[in-house]
Amino acid sequence: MTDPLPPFILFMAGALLVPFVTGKWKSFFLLFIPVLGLLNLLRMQEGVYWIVSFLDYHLVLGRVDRLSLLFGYIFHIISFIAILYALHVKDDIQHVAGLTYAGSALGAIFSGDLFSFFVFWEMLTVSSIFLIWARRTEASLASGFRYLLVHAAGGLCLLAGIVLHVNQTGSLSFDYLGLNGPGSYLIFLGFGLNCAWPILHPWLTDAYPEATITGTIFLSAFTTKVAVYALARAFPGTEALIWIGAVMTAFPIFYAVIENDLRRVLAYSLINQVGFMVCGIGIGTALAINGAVCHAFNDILFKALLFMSMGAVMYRTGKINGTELGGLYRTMPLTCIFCMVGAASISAFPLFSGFVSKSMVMDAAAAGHMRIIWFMLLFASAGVFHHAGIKIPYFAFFSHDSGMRPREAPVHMLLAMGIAAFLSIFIGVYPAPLYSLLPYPVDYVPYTAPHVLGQTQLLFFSALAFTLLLLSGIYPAEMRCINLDADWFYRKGARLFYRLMAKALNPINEACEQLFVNGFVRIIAHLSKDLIARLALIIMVTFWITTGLRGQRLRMKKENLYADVMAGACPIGIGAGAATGFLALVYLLMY
Amino acid sequence: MKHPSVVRTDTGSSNQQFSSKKYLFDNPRNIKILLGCFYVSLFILLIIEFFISKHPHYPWEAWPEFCSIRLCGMCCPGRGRQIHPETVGKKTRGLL
Amino acid sequence: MNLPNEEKMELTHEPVSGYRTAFFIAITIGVFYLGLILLKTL
Repeated sequence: MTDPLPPFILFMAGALLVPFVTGKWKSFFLLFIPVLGLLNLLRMQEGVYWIVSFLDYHLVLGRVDRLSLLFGYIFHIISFIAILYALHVKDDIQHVAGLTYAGSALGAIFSGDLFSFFVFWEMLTVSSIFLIWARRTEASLASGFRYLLVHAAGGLCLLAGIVLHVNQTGSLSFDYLGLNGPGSYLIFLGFGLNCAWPILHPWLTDAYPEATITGTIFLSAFTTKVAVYALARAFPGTEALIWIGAVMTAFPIFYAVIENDLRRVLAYSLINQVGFMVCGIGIGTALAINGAVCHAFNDILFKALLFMSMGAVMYRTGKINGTELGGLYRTMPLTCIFCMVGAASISAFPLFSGFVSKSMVMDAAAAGHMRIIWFMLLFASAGVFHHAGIKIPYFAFFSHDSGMRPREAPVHMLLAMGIAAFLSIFIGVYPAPLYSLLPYPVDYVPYTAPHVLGQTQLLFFSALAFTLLLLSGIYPAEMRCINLDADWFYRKGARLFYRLMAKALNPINEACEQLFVNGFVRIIAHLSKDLIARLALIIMVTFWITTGLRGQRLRMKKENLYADVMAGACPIGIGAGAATGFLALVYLLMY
Repeated sequence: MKHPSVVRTDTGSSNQQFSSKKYLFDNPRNIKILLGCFYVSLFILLIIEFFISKHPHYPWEAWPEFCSIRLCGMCCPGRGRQIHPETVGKKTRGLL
Repeated sequence: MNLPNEEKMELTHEPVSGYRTAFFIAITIGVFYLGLILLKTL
């Protein structure tokens, strides 16, 4: 039997072959890639594989441990689900981009050094852009460019951090880094951008809802989760992450409640859920890290399920705004049920996957006596139920009757949603298999009577709050609006920066042009044209005048001398000399 | 421009076909039954707490009905700065 | 019933009589009780 292959290789090779496979075999081929990948992954043992020499360094393409394996499993599972969901798509660009994206994510999580991690990190960005642009709308094009610019900035930040870190420590190894120097801060910030930290987050809520229906499923699974993995690997126990994570859980709730685009609501709830993971990584205890990683695993499933259900609605109706949808449970009952399973999972209802992972982070915060953090997470737990748990299914499938009677989602979409729903319930009911895969030994029992009761009370009374708000007419109306988020600071700030720079730098530019282009260069050009002739004239005319030469003869002699010198080789030499002098001057000014 | 294979609207003629059919929540009585079940569940959840011993992390969790009363936190739906697309270019020019 | 392609600008939630009072009663009781709990324990 052959040795296992690097997990990313199968996806990348598959992506290259996609355009050459046609007909009904294409579906089988696409589904075969993650299945083969998972079988390949299951044969891997913990250890370090595929070491490649590069300059004076050793690049590790396969560092296999419990943390990377867990992410590897879920990335294969979600790739299969997302590909199954996208089988109707005839656009090869989306399939190639999706497979490359998944392969890049796998490459990143199995990288044992910072250089190969960076390469796969950048490939994530490049491949994911095509899932946004593939929608081929003006909005998606613009959004994709913004996404590209933001991630290019984040990538540069990460690269600068890696260079400084390697310069400082001499090591390329991608292990615990901690915040201990400018390099590590830049790496931290680079990870944070992909993690959608507060203020840095608008790229996510801007781009994900503009991606294709199927592309959003891939997007929801990989970029932020690779960043979570990177933080768990390099910065566990970093206190700043506790507060960053707690803020991430709370602030999106206020935006999600007023957002009309239901996929954008899910994008906000994605930030909210990643907040729980970031907070857990910041707490840094075994329970917290287990909780963060376990929640990442579950979140990939239930968030994809929610995006898939909204995608199915969008596929059938062409609409995604809360103001335009409603009453779809009538003709899309299975999609509605799957959506509610996803909603129950994200809200951490007992017997659903969110319950067995989110509570680990909450308990870790409580065990660490972090009162404020605990209250923030509690608020966020109820808040996520409010906007993702109730709002999404209610406004899409119930609420007012939009009058639309679309058909049920296609079979392959239902199958994909069914698998995700089954896994969400299975993990919720029987978490032991998932717990056995977590990085640290698990000594946690989610199903205790007070915990189940407390969580059920929290959710049911949050539902009561929603019911009372809605029936009393106080709940904010759904509006087709542009909601101002932190991107406002970017747009206004960038404009202000541009104006300031224009005002400050343009006068300097003009002054330099006057001085050098119109002044110095002109004089040089003028001199290099006939300097030697003029010098010769000055010397010779003085000499001729002293010897008594006057009048017509003197004028003729002057003309002859000027013509002779100008006709000689001297002017070229003077030009070359002046140019050399100018270059020497520039060189001196530079150093 | 929308990609033809990505978005398809299956409304229109099918709308006529289904419009006369009655569904579960078209009958207001079913909504009342659902709400009734919901309120009864809430009542049961309030009562059941007195029969379960708690293991609180914090002292406030030991108080009766603390978990239920946390709903207050959810009764503050925020309203951020929203702009109708129609008003862009008028009074909101400075904001966008 | 709305027409399928009608694009609503705003989807308001019509109040049902009695619920506004119920909402304010529930909130008042909840806030006072929560305040009491936190006052006694924090």
